Amino acid sequence: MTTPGWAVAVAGLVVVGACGSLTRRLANGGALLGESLGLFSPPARHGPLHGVSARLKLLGVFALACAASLTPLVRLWVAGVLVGGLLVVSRLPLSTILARLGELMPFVALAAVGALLRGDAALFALVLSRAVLTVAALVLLLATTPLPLLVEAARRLGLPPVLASTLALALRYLALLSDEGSRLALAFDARAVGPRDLRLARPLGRVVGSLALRALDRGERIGQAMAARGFAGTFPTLEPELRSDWRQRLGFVSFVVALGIAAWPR
Amino acid sequence: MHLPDGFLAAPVSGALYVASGAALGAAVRRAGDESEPGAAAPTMGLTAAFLFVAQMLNFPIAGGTSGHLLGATLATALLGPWRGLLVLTVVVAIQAFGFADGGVVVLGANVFNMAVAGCLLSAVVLSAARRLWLARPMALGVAAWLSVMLAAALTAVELAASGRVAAGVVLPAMLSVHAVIGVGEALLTVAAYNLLVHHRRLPGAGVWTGGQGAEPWRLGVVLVLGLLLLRLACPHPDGLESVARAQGFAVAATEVYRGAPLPDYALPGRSESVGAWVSAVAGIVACGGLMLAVGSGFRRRTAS
Repeated sequence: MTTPGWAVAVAGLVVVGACGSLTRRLANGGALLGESLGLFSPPARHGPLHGVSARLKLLGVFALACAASLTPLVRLWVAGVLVGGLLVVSRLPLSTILARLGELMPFVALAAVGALLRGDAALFALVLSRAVLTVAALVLLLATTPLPLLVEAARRLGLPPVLASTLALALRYLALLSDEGSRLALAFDARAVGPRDLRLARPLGRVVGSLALRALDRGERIGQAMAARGFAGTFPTLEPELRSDWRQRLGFVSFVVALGIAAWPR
Repeated sequence: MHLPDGFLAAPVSGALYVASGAALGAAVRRAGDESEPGAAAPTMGLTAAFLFVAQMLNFPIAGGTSGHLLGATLATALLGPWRGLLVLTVVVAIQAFGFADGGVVVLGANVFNMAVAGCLLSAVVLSAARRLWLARPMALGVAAWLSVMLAAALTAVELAASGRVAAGVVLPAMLSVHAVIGVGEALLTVAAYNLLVHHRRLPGAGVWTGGQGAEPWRLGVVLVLGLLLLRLACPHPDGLESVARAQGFAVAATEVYRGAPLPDYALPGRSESVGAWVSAVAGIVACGGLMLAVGSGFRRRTAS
């Protein structure tokens, strides 16, 4: 299969940007999650996609990821047009979209570079363009949907309650534990002397252990507080934001059908 | 070790979604406590957040490279295999959706490699060590090293089954790198466990007393059968066959697979791509059905 030149050019640009973002993140004082993480910053501006049912948005991301991984490179522009159109419709600021894409891309881009190193430019372009599409859809989902609503949507779609409540609490306390982890890592870096190799694993293990200790203690206290407030396994829900009207459903179905036509083997 | 989207063939990722789903279903049934719904949620949620952060702590390995904690053994020692499995699944899902670390389509594969296989293997090793009177830190270290090696081997086998890389290339490469990373994992796990014991937060949840040790054996057998059946759904058997040829049993293999229901993945009289799709779906259904059948057989035997 011949690789379109534009695909290679775009892919190269994305990799350069992603590597820049990764070095910036690594240089950022060793902070584990970073302050500017898209996951925890509030949605930028209220746009039309904020009102769409979180269930449809979640299903749409799954549909897009599946379709993108089945569509050959020459017909991947269909998914690109759909995602690009949704990004325009969402009225998110371009700076927000680019910043969040840059934050999410390093993992994906570094994996795709492996294909390039083997000299397989076609595979590289394919993997990278699929990844960009999926990550753009994830950016759209996270920027227009509050996390608690997303967890509730997943629960309505059949995620078991145990997993849903674990997910909700993990997301709620992730930033907090990440801060504690950053502080522990900083203190460790300030005090740990000696060669930087596997011999550091044992003291670093004590850092991990004390983080576990803090997490377990906090979990106990949170559990008692939640029990005192009458928690019995389910979180209160935000009903209206999960409803979808016929226009949303029609839009969703046409989105999925378009993706399916592009992905259909022929 | 987090596979991104596009690295696995569609049938392989589909089959691993089924396998992970089956394991998660079993875990949900065993992890829930009906007497006090939601009582375990804070501990599990905070442990998930803890493991997420712990996975971001890189430890240096000689030669300028670094590895990071996987945490399957630590999760099993803290919460038992079933709850540990659920907690690690949440971690992997957050990494995929929130941070694009690991793909959405291959989420089932990543959950299987890192959460399901790691926790079940750890539980098996820990309960076996209890019978052998092996010291607990020693058992933890062995389990941690093995969980990393198993995850690396599974990743390599899945890549090879997808036809992306030859198994003879990727398997030794992954295993040799992760043999060293696994040592780091073992040291970290044992040190963290010792600290928890020292502070009298003795983790246990049944893995040491044997309460939950026996069951993972059965699920492990089911999952291994599922992986063997993955061979049916495998669209590019070249990678695995190269290893088979090296081992000298390729003749037997071709005899077996000529009898496969859809030889060469092409239905007669249809175009090849449709045949590949039909055989992929058939393979996934066969995997799922057989795994469910074997699993329910086990359940019936334990009930009687």
